[in-house]
Amino acid sequence: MGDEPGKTQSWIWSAIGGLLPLYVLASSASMGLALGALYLLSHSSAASVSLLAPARFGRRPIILLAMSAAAIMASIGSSLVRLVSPVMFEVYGPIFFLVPFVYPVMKAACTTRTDDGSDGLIEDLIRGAGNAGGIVVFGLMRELLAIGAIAGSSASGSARFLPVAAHPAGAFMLIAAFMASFKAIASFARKNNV
Amino acid sequence: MSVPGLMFYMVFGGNVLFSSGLFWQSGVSRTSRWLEAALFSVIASVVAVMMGLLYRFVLSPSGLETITPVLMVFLLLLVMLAATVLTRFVPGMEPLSGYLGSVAALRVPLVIYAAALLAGGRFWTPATMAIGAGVAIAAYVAATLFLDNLVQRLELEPIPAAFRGEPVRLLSAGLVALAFSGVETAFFGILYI
Repeated sequence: MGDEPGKTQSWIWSAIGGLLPLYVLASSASMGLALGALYLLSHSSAASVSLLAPARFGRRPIILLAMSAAAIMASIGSSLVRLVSPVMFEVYGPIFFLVPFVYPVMKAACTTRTDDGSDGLIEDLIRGAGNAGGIVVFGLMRELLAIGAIAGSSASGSARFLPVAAHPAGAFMLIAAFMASFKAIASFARKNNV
Repeated sequence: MSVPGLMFYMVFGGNVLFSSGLFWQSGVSRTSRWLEAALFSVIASVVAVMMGLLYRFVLSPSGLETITPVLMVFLLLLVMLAATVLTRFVPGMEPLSGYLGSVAALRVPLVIYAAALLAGGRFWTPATMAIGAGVAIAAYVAATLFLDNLVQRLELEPIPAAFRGEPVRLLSAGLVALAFSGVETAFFGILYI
């Protein structure tokens, strides 16, 4: 995959497009952490069930099992959040419930072993971990840009660099800036054969 | 953020890149998209009623709110089957058959589950559900038709190469989201806590 720039770029666009709802809602470090952890749980369980279930079960039952596994993991994760921080659960509970229904999780559930004959479980798990890490980092960065601090800690007082970063509109604009930077760097590398 | 606002951003964010060729099935006409939006409004209302009743009379009294995603999965599958059957009777719309096998078709639940989200807990009266369905449809239309028009006009402008394609679409989406945040603050923020 790494040898095919077009395919890699397409995969990155797909991942960003599918995860946009979570990127938009990860407006702070704590939200990014919670959403990233729930996404990792849901995605890993969906990918594991869909790729490890015996093919003799049939395609549709396997997809149903995988989607159920993702939902159960999201339920368990939400229950843990409720135990640790009931206030956070009250405020953000509906957001947590939506994690198993984002595009990459559903795609992982729908990609059964019978689809392409390959067992790409490890690759799928690494991809899920990468996506989860991306959500966490994006949440951290938005909080840093918006209020100049992470979880109330700042190096030299509070400095509001870009308050709009905490808003959904700011998330879209930041992702656009990242995508443009990525395209510019890729174009530069291609031109200079890096 | 108000619940209608949350729904808007979920549906809007989930569909922003769908029509740029990443997930959207090629050859889908604008008429079909409007028909889909109309169909979604019906489906979203039905799901919202079902989830609202379940949440209010079963999940919330028994303290089982956290199993909402599991029930949603089964509800989603039911709605997928219903949508497959319904689209066969709508002229001009491609049949949504083979739902479970077609990942691209999963764009439909983005609207449905956002509507179901609205139905959970505090918002379950017919009026709030209607507002929720309206917000979800508005977000879907904004993410597809409005953004398509914006991007088509921007193609005539001298945009830097790095911003062409998805980046400029996302920048435009940011401006649409900014406009909605004004509506949310002035309207939904007052109506809903």
